[in-house]
Amino acid sequence: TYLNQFHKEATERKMRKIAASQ
Amino acid sequence: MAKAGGYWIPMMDIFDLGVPGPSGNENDTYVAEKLIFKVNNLLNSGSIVALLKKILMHNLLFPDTAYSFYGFAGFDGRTVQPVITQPRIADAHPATQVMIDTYMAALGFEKTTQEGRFSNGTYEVWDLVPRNVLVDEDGDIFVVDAEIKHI
Repeated sequence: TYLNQFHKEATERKMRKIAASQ
Repeated sequence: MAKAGGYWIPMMDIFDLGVPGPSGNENDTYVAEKLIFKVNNLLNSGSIVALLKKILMHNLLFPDTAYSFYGFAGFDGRTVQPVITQPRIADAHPATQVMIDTYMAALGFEKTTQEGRFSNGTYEVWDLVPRNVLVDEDGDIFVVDAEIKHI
């Protein structure tokens, strides 16, 4: 559950970055 | 019970978790290949249950830096400290207070009169200051540590 659309998009983008950095 | 479940880490084995990182008010950190282990002294939370509740709220609000429960460390029959993990956030540096304020506003939180403290009517989040929040080269904000309560 996301707080708003920004929360959803930012979270998904950051999780992709974390996965890539690993 | 932690021993029987395989969740007990004797304090003498704590350095097996990883390379020691910086220590904060509540956490000693150990760096592993993909994770940060945090051995938590409960100084801020006060109890294991309160810490686990805070982690649940952190994971709702800041899922990109979600915590997982790993186990308990301590001295047998004396002290118990929960051990939690968090993904490593690479290529980032401490965010400025303005960046933090802007990010929280985008999530729908309002600043309170105290710096680093925010509320959205459901949750109150505080201690969001540069030592607890990172920003990467794209401007993405990562909240690594926060105090949170349900209002």
